[in-house]
Amino acid sequence: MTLFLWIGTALGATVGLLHSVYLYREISARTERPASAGINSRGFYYAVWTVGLWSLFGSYILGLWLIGSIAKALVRFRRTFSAR
Amino acid sequence: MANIKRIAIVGSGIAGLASAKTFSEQGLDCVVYERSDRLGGVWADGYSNFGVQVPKELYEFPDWPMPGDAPHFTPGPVFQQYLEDYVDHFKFRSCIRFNASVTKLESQANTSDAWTVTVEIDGKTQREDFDFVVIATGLYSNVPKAPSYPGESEFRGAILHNSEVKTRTPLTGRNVVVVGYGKSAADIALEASEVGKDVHLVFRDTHWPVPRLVAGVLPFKWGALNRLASACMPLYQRPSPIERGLHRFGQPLVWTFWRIFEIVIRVQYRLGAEIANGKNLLPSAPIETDACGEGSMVVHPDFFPRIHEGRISAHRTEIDRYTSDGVVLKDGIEISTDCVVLATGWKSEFGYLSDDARTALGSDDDGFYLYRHMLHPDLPNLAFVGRATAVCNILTDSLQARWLAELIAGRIVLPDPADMRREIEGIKTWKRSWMHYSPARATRLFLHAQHYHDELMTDIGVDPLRKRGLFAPLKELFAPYEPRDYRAIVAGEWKRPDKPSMLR
Repeated sequence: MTLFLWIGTALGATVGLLHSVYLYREISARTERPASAGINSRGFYYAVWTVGLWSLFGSYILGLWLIGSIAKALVRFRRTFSAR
Repeated sequence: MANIKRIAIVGSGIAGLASAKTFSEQGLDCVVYERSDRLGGVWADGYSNFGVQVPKELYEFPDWPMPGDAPHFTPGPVFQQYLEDYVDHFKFRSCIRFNASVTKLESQANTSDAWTVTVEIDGKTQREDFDFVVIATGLYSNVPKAPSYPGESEFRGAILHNSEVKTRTPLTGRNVVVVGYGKSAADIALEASEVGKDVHLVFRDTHWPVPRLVAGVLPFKWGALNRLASACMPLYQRPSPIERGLHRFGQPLVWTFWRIFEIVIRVQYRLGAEIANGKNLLPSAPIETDACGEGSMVVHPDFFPRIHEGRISAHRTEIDRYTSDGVVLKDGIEISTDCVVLATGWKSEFGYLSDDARTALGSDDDGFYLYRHMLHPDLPNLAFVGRATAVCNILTDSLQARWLAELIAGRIVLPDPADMRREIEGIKTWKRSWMHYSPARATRLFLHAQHYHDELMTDIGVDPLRKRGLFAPLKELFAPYEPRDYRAIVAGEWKRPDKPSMLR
């Protein structure tokens, strides 16, 4: 269980990091500011939240993903079976 | 676009009023043609007990909140009064010409991009020239779509379209058959179950109902009108990389999201229970595609209980023929009735458009497709407002009006016609790839409305992320988007970019 939580959190953090980079770039591109300006604070705030949420809920999302994969496969199998 | 001074608006429903208000505030000379003697379009003349099916905070102009004492689900007459107050508050009643029926709309293509509008006012025909025309008559005309069945002439009872049921009188004390499974069919069946004798609802197929409260607890807007639900819909025409990743690697999550919704709604309304002819009420299409169909409705809490109590007999079939005192269904059941109400919708008709314009719009049987759901490259200076169906139509119409106002002011620049055509083809291909056929598929957005609103905002140089406060990032994902989130934009109160926005 602990291992699963760690794997989920690590996966979540990785996805969250990619998501936050995308979000930061999007928000920065929309914000009008001088070229010399440093970090975009709004973009950074959203990025931090994104990493945080993905890391926090990573293992739940992984659990849901596994349950969904199994359920979807079962439904498909049942459909194929009943179609025959 | 900069030389536009005079605008004609056809229709004074919510789309027409939002347009008139936005353009008038911009100093443009507007004339709204309304064929009846009251403003409001469908809200001025509904069937018995009609009303707004979503909570009032979702169905209000972003810059004119519903009164605090209005009921949570606004009844039609209250909403009509709200529209009257809107017109008076923003002082553009003088723009509206009542009893003015537009009979012809011709382009002056040989000389300019202007249009000539022919109108019948009190029996007299007038012609007026305008720089720009907005068609805001909604998706449908005032011509009912009423299916006919054999034996109609020998049937001794009344055959009515739902628009003819203005009061309960035609239903009182009668055996009523209602045909259809949309909101109007459900409303009429409910009315009939109050005052009629036997009530039967006949429909070919069912759709997933949207509960006012999911599982009896959660207002549906929290489950359906946020960015998470938008992202879980079949992939948008221009998805973000995150959405693309979600649908590619996170497919089981998306699948589970919708199946959970289906299970909850199925249990909540007992959709699997047997109905009159041994069938059930389970829809055949998955909820994420069905939600974009014609029959999606936020259901009245009494509707399904009355079916299960037997006060409304549900028949999942079609009428086969009329007899002298009733109808025979395709599954062989004979129903004795003296009133058949066809709640089967309206025809789409733009008979006043010139032949050239209708040719340009095309003859696709799922409706005509437009650039940003508003413009056609072959019809310059003509726009459609209100041809993008969403849960909060009033918000979408208001944003479209704002977008057009920015276009007319020259603050956004359209791409060349070839690019606009490519874009239209893109929408067509995208919708036809997953959305079930319906005569108005071209206009359907529903849970994708968030994506559309984002595009309109980006076009006019506004940040589409509208949530504010400490928890804004969390709200962006989970909180519902409502008209009030766009108040400043619709009111025109934001800092415009220095340069015009060039659209792709």
